[in-house]
Amino acid sequence: MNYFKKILSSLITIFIVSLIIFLLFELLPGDPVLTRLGVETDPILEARLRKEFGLNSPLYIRFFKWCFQVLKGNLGNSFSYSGYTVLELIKSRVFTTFIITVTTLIIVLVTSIPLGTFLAKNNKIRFFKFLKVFSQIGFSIPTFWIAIILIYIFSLKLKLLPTLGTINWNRYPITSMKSLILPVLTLSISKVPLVSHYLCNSMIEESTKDYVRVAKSKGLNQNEIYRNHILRNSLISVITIIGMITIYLITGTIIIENVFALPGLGTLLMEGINRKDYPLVQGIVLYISLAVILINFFIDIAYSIIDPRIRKGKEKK
Amino acid sequence: MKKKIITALIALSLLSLGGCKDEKIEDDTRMVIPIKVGFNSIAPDTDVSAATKEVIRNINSGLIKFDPDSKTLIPALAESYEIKNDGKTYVFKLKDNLKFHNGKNITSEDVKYSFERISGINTGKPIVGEWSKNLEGVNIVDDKTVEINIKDKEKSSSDIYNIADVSIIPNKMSEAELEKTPIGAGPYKFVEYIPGQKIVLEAFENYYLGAPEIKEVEFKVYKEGAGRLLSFKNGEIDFLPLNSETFKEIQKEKNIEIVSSLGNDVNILYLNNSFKPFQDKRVKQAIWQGIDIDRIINSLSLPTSEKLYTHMSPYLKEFYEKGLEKNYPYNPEKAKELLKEAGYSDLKFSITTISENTFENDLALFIKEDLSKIGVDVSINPIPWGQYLPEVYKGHKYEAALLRVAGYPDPKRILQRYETNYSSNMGNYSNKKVDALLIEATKSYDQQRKIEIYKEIQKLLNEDIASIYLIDQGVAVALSPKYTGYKTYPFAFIDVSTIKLKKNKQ
Repeated sequence: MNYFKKILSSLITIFIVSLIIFLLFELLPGDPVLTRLGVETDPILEARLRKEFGLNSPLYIRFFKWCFQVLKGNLGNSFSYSGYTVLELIKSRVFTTFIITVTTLIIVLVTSIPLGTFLAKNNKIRFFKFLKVFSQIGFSIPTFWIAIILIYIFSLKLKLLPTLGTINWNRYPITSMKSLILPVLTLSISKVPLVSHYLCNSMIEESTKDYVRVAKSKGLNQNEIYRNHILRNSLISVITIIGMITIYLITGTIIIENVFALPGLGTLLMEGINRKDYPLVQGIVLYISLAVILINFFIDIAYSIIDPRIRKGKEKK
Repeated sequence: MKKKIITALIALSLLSLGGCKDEKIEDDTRMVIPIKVGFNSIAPDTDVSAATKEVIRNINSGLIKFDPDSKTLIPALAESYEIKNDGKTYVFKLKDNLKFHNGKNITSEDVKYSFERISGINTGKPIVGEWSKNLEGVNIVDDKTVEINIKDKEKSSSDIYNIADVSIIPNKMSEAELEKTPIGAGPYKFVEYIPGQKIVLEAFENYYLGAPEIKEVEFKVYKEGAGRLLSFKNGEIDFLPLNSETFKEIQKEKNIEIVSSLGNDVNILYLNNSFKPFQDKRVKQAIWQGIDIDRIINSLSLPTSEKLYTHMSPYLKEFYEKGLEKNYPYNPEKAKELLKEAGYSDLKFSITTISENTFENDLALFIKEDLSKIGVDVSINPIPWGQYLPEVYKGHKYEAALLRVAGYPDPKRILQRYETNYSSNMGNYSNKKVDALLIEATKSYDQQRKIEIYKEIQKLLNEDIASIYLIDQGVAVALSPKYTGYKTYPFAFIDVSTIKLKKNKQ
């Protein structure tokens, strides 16, 4: 029942988001036909494209037409890439964004959990307090700045990695892999301090709780207490942060994709907005909404795995 | 165990960093060229935007073409041509052994199909609006000779330029095929296209002028910015369009060749005649004389740029009217006097610019600063191109506006913008004499007479201050040290076939 409610509310959210985007696009100044034709507009071509794009019908008809089309699994044709469907365009870009997201997440998890634990354990030592301040600086630096510094070191000075992203897995698999190293590194550098900082704070807080004292009095050693009790309870707050990071990554890291000229979803979304290509923008927004809902769903599951009390609490209801 | 995993991970990452070689073929015959935006369509002539044309022109070829050296039209796929029936009929004779990228021979059938496609005669779906109005029909005389007939009412001496723009494609090739795998007769064959990302082309061995030296070229979408310069210096891109800043930066490098020329584009400060103060010529003159264009060129522009006095760049030498230079020199004192005389000593107006164009926004700041010295209060109103196009360019809703107006090889197309009823007459300019001269030029097939007419129009535009003409910014491109020989065009075209390998030259 609970899940049914959740799915229903998600569908309503998607519908409302789509409607808002549709209306916003209508309010924005500019015209998709003129944007496409540019200065060399011609009344004959304008009329032809307006008909092809279906712009002659009123807004509500266009919106409901779009909704029915989506229900049939068709996101429509792009205005700005003639001959290509929105789905084809999203498919061609989603893989890059997916790889960046997954690799960054793995790096963030693998690095920040031990790091956060280590910082929390050694919280009393002055040097580690300094490290915590340092991590705060780490997540305050804008990502594009980190990107530029990394490009300077790894591309220009060491000549190890390309500055320019080439993604073509069939023709150049190694170059494609190399192209993703700096973007992933940039994103990881900005996210690892954030997650480890949160984890560290949360663990310090947990370590003052009664059950820790009880565990200590039972004679358990510090490592065991940290691993089996404190870390587990602290992970709950970290999962929320990880969820937010995942949503940030999956929605297309516009800045990073731009800096490294990577063909991901973020750049596709920007192109769609600039060219007033509303089928494309609607399609990407729909995809993003679905991704956000799915991530929230997985976070829920993760909560209940880590903390059985949450699962049991739900069962009682 | 943990240690082993960590060691393995480090080893793996090191391997990926240094162990494997880049596949970017170290071969000099492969170039990567950055472009600003993705294309709307790669089918020949479908997308009219400059960003697409500059690339797609490498795939296609027309019957005749513009030659950047002589600055005239010369035969391309055609061996020769003849204009008959007072400009109604154009007879083209094709060269021998012409081939399309798919190996098929080019015949009159293909020429007929290409012209009918573009005008939408058979399909009702015109590709270029003007052709749907102009084309009466195409007759096949024999396998290698075609007659293109223009409608009597529409025929003009500019038709030859329009003919040069029509890409010849294989007979019966559908739009869907052309959208996904275009075939033409240009110097480069289509290989791969990923929308919004890149297009890869390969040299065409049977090109009628011989196969180009650059065997493969990848046009890659890569927005302007610091990253481009870094990638160029790092050898990842081989071609870099320059602005004044990157020009200075690249100039320091010894081995890098910079190709520069006038651009034939005109930067204009449009003063809308429907805004009352601009109906007074003295106000317009005061603004012109109040702007220090030399200072703008020295601080903002490429060294190749040139001051303008009318809507024509000296790029098209033959048509350019010299001698207008002395009319409105920078003179702030005179400007103040003129404003006082006209009764506008506290004039205020806004300049609308395209927010995406850094150059024009900087230009607006310079103008604002200069005009404040003569007591004119300018506000700058930057709006996105998507809004500028319908409101300012088409709707003429602005007081003053900055625009870089693209040039063409055909002066008629440049100066037509001043015809009273022309939709892109952005300044709402109207002069019966100019209208009459434009019609006369359209009807005249005598080159000398046309030159006289276009010069006369330029004089009138300068005299009436139809707009304030600022500069031809020029174009400059840096080539990586391996290449040479690149040629610029007076319209959007990165002609890769002109690029040669330096080592072949030495």
